[in-house]
Amino acid sequence: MINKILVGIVAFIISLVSNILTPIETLIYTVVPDLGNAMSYLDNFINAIIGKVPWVVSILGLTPTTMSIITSLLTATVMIPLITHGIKLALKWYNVLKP
Amino acid sequence: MKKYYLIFVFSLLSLLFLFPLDTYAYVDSSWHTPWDSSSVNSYTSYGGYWGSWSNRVVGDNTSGEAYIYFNNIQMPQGKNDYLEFPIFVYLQPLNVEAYTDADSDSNNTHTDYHFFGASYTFDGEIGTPEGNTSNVLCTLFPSSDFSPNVVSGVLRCNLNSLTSTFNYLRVRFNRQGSSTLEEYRVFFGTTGWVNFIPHDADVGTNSIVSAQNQTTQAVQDATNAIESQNDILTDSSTSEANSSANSFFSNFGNHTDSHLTNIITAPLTLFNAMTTACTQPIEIPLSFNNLNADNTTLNTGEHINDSTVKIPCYANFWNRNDVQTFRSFWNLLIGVPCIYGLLVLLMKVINNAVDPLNDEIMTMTLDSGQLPYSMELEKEMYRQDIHDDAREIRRNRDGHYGGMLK
Repeated sequence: MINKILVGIVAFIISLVSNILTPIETLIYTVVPDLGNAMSYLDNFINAIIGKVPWVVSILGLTPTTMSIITSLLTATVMIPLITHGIKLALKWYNVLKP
Repeated sequence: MKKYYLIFVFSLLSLLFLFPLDTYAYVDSSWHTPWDSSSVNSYTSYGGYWGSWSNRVVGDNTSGEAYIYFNNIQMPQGKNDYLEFPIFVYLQPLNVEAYTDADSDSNNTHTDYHFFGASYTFDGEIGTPEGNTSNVLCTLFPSSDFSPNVVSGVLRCNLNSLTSTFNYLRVRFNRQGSSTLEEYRVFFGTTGWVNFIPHDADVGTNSIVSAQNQTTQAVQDATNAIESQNDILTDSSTSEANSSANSFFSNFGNHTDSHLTNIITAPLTLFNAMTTACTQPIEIPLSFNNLNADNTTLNTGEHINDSTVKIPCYANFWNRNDVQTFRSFWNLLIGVPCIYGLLVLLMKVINNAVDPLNDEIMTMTLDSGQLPYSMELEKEMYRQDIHDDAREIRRNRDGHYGGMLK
């Protein structure tokens, strides 16, 4: 259950970020193609590393419950500062833009 | 100092338990070389553990022999019905002229020399330290075909509930049925790890499923390659030719990659990957360039293609019934420190989020000159309180004028 919720959140955020960044990325590929190539190399490298993660996890032998707890804690550790900062930013904008 | 000592001991224990000796035995790299010791010795310098060449195998014979000797195998306690290890098989045609003709003739395809063009089986012999020997039947589960005469896979030998230990395994190669290849010899190679499978394990699915997954992946890769070619043709030749040439916006909309998004969302993808089941083994490429360039070890015209060694996922090991007790202990050993560390980190993150003196809070300027409550004012009051407290403490310690005037 937790895993499915996490996967759903991850998929939603990735699709949201993709929609936001697609015009920027297209601009980069059009104006600075070398930077686009560098990004593709970096992306391939990251994919190669992430692709090995399931194998490493399989070696560790942790149960799915343990991995779900670890993943949930990691997600909370990353998401709490993001959410807090987002709320503060929203409040700041509200104070600036309010009539 | 004590903390680092504990970390060191913990790391040592982790390494010890990461490769449990009761399951994955180490194999001595020394090989018995019944025919040509000098050439086999030279092969060992190229990595891995290499078997010997077989003797010349003539096409009319129904069997040929090639040997792999595992020395100093430490067999785990209890019954172990199967033993498996990765194997790399090279079938070398000895009639170089015929092989060259077949290679260049489109009508005479590589199928003639394909390893599975005829039916091949393996059996073996194991020897005990007391000098006793037993015959074992081995089955090859191929994972991939690298070339028409090179095959890799997992070789599984039936130990027939053998309870006593043994110190060597000799694998024998047999051909069943006819082949157009008249003369050839066989070369075995392996990577050095041996997996013992107990009698109550779910035997017969491990390597087969792995091979099926790899076959499916190979088909998927081929499909992707074809689709990629179609995309290239569509985008570069058709679309670009029909679009406005040299326009700044001409490439907008044609770009389908999302590398920037992938880079930024890599942590999320990492989290997702942590809960994903392992289906793809780790692949280690093997290069034989040096071996092929060495004319002293290979005959004229001989060539060994590059290959890949696959290290399978460990889920089959951790899901075994006799490992569950150890897995529980292992989860406590690894999982508890990880979860404890993450909880400590999470508490720090929460404290930072609610700390009024945190830098992130300072960025929250409410612009509240007319508001009854001001975070800046609250912060200044907090600092003033600390300052007053410090001054009071210093005054009590040093007298009314403080230590500076004494």
